[in-house]
Amino acid sequence: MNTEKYDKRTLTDYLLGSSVESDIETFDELSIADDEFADELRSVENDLIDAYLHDELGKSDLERFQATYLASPLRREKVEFARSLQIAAEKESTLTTSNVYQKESSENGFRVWNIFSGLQFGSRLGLAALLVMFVGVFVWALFNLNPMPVEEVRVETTRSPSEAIQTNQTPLPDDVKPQSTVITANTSAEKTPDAASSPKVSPTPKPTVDSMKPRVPETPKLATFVLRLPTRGTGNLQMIPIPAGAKDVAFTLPLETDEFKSFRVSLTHQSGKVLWQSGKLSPGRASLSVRLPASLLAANIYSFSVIGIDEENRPQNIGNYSFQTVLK
Amino acid sequence: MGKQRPKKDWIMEPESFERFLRWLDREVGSDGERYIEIRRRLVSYFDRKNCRTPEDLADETLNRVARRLEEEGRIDVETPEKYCYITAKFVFLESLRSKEKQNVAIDPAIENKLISEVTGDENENEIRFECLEKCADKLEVSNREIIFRYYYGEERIKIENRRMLAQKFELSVNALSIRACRIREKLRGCVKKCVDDGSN
Repeated sequence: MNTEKYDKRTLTDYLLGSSVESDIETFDELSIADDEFADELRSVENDLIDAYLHDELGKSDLERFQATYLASPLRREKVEFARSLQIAAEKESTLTTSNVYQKESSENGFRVWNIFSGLQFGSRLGLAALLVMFVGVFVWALFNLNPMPVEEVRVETTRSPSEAIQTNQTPLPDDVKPQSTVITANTSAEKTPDAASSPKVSPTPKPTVDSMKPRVPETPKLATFVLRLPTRGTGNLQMIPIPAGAKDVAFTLPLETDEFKSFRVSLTHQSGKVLWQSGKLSPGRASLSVRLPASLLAANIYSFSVIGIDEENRPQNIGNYSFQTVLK
Repeated sequence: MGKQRPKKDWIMEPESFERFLRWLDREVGSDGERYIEIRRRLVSYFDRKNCRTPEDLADETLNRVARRLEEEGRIDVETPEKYCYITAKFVFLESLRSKEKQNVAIDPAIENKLISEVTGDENENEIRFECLEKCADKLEVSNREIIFRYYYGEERIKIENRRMLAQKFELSVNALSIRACRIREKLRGCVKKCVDDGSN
């Protein structure tokens, strides 16, 4: 096979549907008939998906990725799988780091004990006394030389629940920003939209033991919004401020009905173009939750169309949740 | 040789399937791995062509090849993969023609249903993650380490991680990439099956 015929750039173009006709025919054939090419193509495709998830794609590739690559359900499934894989890899990495840390600590402990037990009785007693004195002085110093009061920091949101926004890096007032504390994403918080209205950050801005732990890799940033119920006529559009750097946006769509066993949601651009469609969704607490890549949304007007599926699998239009996005 | 049946009613018997697997394997037993790999490539091919049912078309392609093999006893072609590609091209062109017919009077409700399952549902994401953990537990220890370390980190961290991983497993960076890709494909297949089983 002529490996000079293609490189990573050419294969990326092929995957994004931008190859020249002659290349398409050649690559189509090689993608099935040539093992080496098939492996290379798969590798480039994985890198492309990962680059998308890490926000590493250039503007042109990103646009083509969104318009072409994400148009297929199978390819979207690949992206979702890659996202799960990244989270799992980060989790695994954290566990490994933590295990290594514990193992090293435990080994160091044994080493100290070996040195201590190797000393004669008198020396051991003297060393123990010194140690007790040192601990005493340290405790005294801790309580007497650091009078800074420990305050609980709360960041209360002033937004209404319908415009609640939660990111995993809740902004703190400048005077209480910790220097070394890492606030990492708590994905469980994403499951409780109610909590979004009053995010709390605690305890203190002082460096804590937590801040000294091995740094937990950040999970993708998530902005969460609760949309208003669809209304007839032309009311004011709900403004949705997408924070810069948000990777995903989750929407909660309140429902007025519980007659349907499942729902399907599609996101439509102002132009009428359908940008995204959900799979079968189950309602939860009189609402639907959908999550999509933030990169799908520019500053524009969008609408979620919701279709309910009844017990006899008949679809029925529920309503349109329109909103306007602004990029912060 | 099997009895002649109308083409559309042809069903692959176990013996035909065995023969087909051996032909794909070029008589070297791969325990069906080669079949799975070719099918995967075909699915991706039809998907890149924006076919709505790439899996069905891949199965149709493989069915036709197997039937031809059964009817003729042999297929004189450069490689089985190449013949699969030629057949896939025909299947694709036929699908285009049938799509044109379908497009005449397609019901929007059916249209909506035809669009295959997509993700974005929180529950589904959770199920997928659980499935991923289950499937990863089934991997060999070395494969598990490769898949998680290979895809961990961004930019420089990722590159450094991969270099160290290649060193550890005494592989070139390219060989490591191919191995990681294969593990990823296998894992994705397992996760997809697990998610489908869970949602049915």
